Amino acid sequence: MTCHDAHERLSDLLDDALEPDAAAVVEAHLAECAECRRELERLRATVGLLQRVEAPRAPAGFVDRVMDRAYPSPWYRRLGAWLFVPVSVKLPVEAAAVVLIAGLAIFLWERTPELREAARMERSAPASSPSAPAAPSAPAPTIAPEAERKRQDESQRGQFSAVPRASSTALPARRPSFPASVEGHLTVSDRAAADRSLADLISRVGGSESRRRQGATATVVEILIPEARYDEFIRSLQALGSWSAEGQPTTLPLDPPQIPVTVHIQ
Amino acid sequence: MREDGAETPELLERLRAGDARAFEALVVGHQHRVFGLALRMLNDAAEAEEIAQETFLRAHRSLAEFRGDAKLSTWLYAIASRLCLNRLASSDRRVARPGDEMLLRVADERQGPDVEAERGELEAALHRAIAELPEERRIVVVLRDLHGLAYDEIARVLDLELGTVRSRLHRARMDLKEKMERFLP
Repeated sequence: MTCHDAHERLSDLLDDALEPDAAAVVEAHLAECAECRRELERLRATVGLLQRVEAPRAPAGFVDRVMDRAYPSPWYRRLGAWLFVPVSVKLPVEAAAVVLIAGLAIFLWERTPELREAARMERSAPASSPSAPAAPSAPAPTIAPEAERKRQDESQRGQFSAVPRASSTALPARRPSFPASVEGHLTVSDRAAADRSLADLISRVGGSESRRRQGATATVVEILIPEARYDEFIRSLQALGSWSAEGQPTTLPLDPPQIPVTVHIQ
Repeated sequence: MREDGAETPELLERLRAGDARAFEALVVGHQHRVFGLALRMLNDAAEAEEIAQETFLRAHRSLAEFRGDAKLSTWLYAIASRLCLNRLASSDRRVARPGDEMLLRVADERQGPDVEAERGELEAALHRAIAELPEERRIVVVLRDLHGLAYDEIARVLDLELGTVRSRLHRARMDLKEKMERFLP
């Protein structure tokens, strides 16, 4: 046997895959050939390295994935699972939505003074307390019960109808209406002239009209007067005609502080 | 079926009858072998899982026709080997990722950084050496030396003559010996 012939059989010899006679011939050659013995040992070491390779393991969830493909769920079960099972996903999403909406509401509340003001007015409207004027801690305006009842009666009788606001009042658009803390009647001989004079007076003291209603027998003007000019406004109003008022002036915490007044010109 | 893949006549009957539990036991028992073969052949974990899943699904579709004249493991190896060789012959297969080299592990009880470094180098060299083998030799040496199949089992799995198996195994081992020269005594 040549070395080449022996080399060709070394792999089989390692695996005991040679017939006994053939194995005996190869072993006889190896006994005489140091080079072929060395070759056999190197081949044995190579196979030893291969056999020491650790077997990899299938990834986690492999069996489930195979079973899901081999036995797919019916559509209604998959739909049910999609709708109801992933609560662990749905709950955090819903909680995040609630937090987001709450955050947005707080943000708008903080950034929108009108909203805050309207909320204050709504809270304080049912209460009717003659609080001291210009008291910062008592911003709730009040309406004298008698005046309020009278105003409601007038509205119910349809004495006043909404008309376009006179351009001379130069009111800002969509100005909110505030319940009057002081409501009075200005009896004059010439309503139109008194109306113009009132507009001038409002402008002079830095006030503003918040609403105007034109009736057959009276013109009702809701006004906001700066607290600092209130006394001057009342004195000037008395000069326009006969002024009789009810209620106590209550300051709204605006910037600058304002006192709501309703004037019935008749 | 146990993790070692032992099969019983009762299990075969249940598999042929379409028993889902029996099929699950089959997958549990052979998942690592089938995945391991695919990984050694393809060197890509995602591709190996894909082939391993497909192996079990094809077996599932053909279980009623399984005659039982070979072991279930041999049958699964045959399906997996065919799928691997087909995939390797496909021109659009993904290129193996370098990170997958570390999926090869050489058992070594020694510890220490030097040993770790040496082992990493040995693993990498062994991986490259196996990956560089021609596919028809690679699958024979993987089935024989990594999975421990007998020659006749390999012949049955690959539908080859016994002499062809011997010849390819010998060539594969000689190639590896040349490539692993510096790690040999």
